[in-house]
Amino acid sequence: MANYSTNEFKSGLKVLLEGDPCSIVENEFVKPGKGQAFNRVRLKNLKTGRVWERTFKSGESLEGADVMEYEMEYMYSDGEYWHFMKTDDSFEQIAADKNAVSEGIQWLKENSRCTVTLWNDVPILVVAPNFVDLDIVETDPGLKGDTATGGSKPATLSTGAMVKVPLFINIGESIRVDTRTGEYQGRSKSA
Amino acid sequence: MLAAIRQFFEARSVTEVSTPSLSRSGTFDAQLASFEVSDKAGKLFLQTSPEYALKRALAFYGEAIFEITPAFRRGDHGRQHNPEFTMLEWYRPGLGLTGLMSEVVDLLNTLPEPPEIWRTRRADLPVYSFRSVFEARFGVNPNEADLSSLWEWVQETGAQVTHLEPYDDDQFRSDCLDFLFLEVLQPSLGDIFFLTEFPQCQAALAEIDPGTGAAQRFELYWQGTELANGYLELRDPAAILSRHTLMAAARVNRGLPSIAFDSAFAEASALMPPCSGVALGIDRLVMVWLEAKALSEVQLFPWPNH
Repeated sequence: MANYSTNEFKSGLKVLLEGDPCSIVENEFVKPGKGQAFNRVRLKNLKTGRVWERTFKSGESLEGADVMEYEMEYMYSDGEYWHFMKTDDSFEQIAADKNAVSEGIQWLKENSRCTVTLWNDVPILVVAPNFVDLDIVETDPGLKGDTATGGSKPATLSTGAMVKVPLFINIGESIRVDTRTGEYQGRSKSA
Repeated sequence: MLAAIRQFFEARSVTEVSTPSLSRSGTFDAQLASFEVSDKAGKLFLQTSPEYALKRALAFYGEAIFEITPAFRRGDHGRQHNPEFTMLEWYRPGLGLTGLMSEVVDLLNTLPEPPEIWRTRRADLPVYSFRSVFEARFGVNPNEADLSSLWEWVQETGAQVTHLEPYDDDQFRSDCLDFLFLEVLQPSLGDIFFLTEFPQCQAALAEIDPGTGAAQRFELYWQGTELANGYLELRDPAAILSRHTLMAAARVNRGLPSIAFDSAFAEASALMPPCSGVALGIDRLVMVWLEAKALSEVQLFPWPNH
């Protein structure tokens, strides 16, 4: 891969830092009048999802990382791997291990469209859609008529995820969840 | 903008001069890099500011002068940096730093169509002392803080700092202080302010106050941009030589090219009347005046695709 110097760092550029693939979030060139020039860079580690800030000497360069993102449909899990298929009609399939799926596991429903990040053609990160509709498989009985007060109770979803739901939600209902926060959004529209 | 600046100086009997952009000697500042060209006689430098030439002109004329001229600094470009830029620099015999700061404000007040932020701030611009602001936060005079503490505080700012390497010299002290100012001190100082009483290692070519040990220098900050930089001018050739020597050592430590001592400039400094001088970045001034976020928004030929 090519090397990129600080002046070429821009949002979205994929580079290797300390052996990990990273995506540049922000890059600012700073030069105090009589002081050392540097670049203040925010990077997202694509394996862990963590964003950190780091300064670089201006003119320093980093090796580019062969990172691609694809929209893929989740198919099934065999317990060890989670299998996805490209949505570009190529029917190409890949298998992601537990590290790549990580916290996304609890939101994966068959046929849902996820973003899969490949580094050197190996999946390193799976991000579930921002919103998923899932069925409630377990929760305390609902309280009839209580649709206004703010109380909530824990509920288990078909994927095993636990979320807080309002008291009036019952087993068997389908709800919409924001996967970024794990919060209940409402009853599913299609239900 | 340029016409308004020229009118301002004409009304105050400050003479416009023109000095060469190409010089046989470059700046000795360790953290300023000159563009170099050459002819049969050898190497030439594009000026990083007209300071040396204007001081020689001032030694000759002995009266207030100004120049609007291109300046060149080798390095990356960015939101507030362009390797080629336009600088306004002027010198005022008999005027102290406070008087010169007022004159900077007077100049800005004569410019057409001031932005809202200037109209609301100009009557009462705060003046902060680097020394006091630093002492209030870190409990020690920036001239006296030891290098290992400075380096520790730099590491504690939250960013992983890899652009600095510890050296046992004044330039390293200055670079740490710059970073601490940028990351820790500046954010609480408001949007437009003057900064004075710089640490000695950042004196550049400014006098040092024998009482406080602070460099008699000021900067005008405007929403994080250094807009103007002024000195009570150092006129002692021996002191200029010793600052050159310190910078030469810093250059050696960092593997930077050495710069010959410009004795013509140093000798001319002794012939200048006691004076203060200030440089103001015109491109940056236009940027903040038009409330733009980047130089490229106000430049007809932004770097590097011009």
